[in-house]
Amino acid sequence: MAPQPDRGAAEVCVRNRGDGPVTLLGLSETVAVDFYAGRETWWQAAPSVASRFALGKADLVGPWTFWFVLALVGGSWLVAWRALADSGSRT
Amino acid sequence: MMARLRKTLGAVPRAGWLCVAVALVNGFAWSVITPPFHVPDEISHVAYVQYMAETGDAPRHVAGDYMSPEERQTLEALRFFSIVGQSANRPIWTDSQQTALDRVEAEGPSRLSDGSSSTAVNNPPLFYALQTVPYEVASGGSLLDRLFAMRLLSVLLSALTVLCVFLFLRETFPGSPWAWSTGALAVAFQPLFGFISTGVNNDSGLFLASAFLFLMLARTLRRGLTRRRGVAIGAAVGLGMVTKLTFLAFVPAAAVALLVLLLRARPGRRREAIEAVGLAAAIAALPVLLYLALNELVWDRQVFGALVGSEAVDFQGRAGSLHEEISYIWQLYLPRLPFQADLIGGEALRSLWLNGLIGRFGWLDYGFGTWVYDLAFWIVVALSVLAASTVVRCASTVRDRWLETVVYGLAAIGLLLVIGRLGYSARIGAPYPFEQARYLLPLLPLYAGGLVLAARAVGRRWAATAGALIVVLAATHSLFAQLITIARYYG
Repeated sequence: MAPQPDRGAAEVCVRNRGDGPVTLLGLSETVAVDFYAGRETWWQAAPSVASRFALGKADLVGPWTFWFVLALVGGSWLVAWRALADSGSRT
Repeated sequence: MMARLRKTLGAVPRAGWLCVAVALVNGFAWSVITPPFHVPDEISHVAYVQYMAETGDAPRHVAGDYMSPEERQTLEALRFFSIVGQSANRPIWTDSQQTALDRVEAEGPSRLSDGSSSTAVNNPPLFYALQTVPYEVASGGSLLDRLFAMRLLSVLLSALTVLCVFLFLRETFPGSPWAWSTGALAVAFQPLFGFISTGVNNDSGLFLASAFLFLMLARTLRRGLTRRRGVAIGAAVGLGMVTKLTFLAFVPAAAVALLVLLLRARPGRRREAIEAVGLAAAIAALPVLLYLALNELVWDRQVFGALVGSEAVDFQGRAGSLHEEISYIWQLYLPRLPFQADLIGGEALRSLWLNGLIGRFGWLDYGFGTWVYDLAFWIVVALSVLAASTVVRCASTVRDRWLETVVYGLAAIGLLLVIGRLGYSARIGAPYPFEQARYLLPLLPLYAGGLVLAARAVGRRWAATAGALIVVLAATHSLFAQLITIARYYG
């Protein structure tokens, strides 16, 4: 099935072609259905994560914020290293 | 005064400011990663701030909704109540859900609540009054914009906490500059601290007030009691008390420190010591008296709210007993004795406190895999043994500095007892458990000191390297805590 745009309300038929049981989880009025083609790596999922990251937050937050935060966390390691080196040199 | 402040801040070593920078950056990351309202009790704390900002009043025990229509509709659009406590459920993921949220924001629901009871209602107002500033600055935006601004203030408070820890360690270990950065960075990267202190929760203010008190106690115990230090200790106690009433736990420790220093003052300095203690007591009492007066005369609240938070619903509690309370407090921190009834439901030391400090996030609805807690247990055991071996090896120094040991010990015991008393009250009177590991975080300066002692166990030559390894461990811990948070909400 080709990727579908977000349509809001939709009718979906589910057929279980596998051996295991299938369970649909959701609220009484809404069920979200996500399709995954096989297993995603974290790296493959990252763009989707970045777009979800921006939803339900302040206007200032966008998908870019996810990458920005990752960069900041990496930067904090470098600054921490600098702090240790700075204080270590005075030991 | 400004010149003196500039001089004081100018005396902070560059490494201290770098630690503050790490805390700011890491705190900002936590504040953005954690979805709105998913820091424990954030819905109640935001409601308190909003009510105070919109009315200039404080919430009280009256009937009605403690949340404004704006907050309640925003939470519904965010599907908050179906996500919290349900680790399989995710926040809004689709554009149509975002459109529904945008519609709520565009409709502009009322920002006025009834100002009634929530879990935050008994809290003193200082933290909330401070948070009205970013709330007002962002008042042109949506509630989520204002929440974002409020969290930024919390990030700032958490960075100041780290600065206080750095300065506390500088007083405590003056000859070991590596120790100051090691302890401060270990705190900056502590995941539970990062998660809680960067949300809208008055614990953020409590951590800062506690760290400032520890700093001023250390400075006074090491350098002597002066009027200025008396004022600072009084300010720390007074501001801490009107931030969160559990700060009461530290009052006996501060009082003992001041009284012993007064008794030890040389005759020539006795007058200044008496004035310093008087100033400390007066300045500590001032905000508390102001708070009591506002409660009584302006806000029509309980004069001194109960220490434990109270819901709008009445609980049908049962009568407790002193014997049972003592047994409960014992079991909260120590192994249960054979003759004691099980009041906790298992052992708390590891499952509640240790695992909680390693990390339970959200509204306690997700955490690490079991193997992480098992591994962390042995790391904590190893660090504790190392720290204890340093204490034994430096027994003469510990003896010389007995007053510091007594004061910090009293502070820790005071907090444990207050948590125990509140926990027991909740156990017999409230429909929800009270105990959470975050309540130990006011002891962060001692946690940092303990890690420094562990690093020192390997000897003077390798101590800085051991400290660096501890920081790498803490930073890795923090990174994985942030990754599981991303996986919980967005993965």
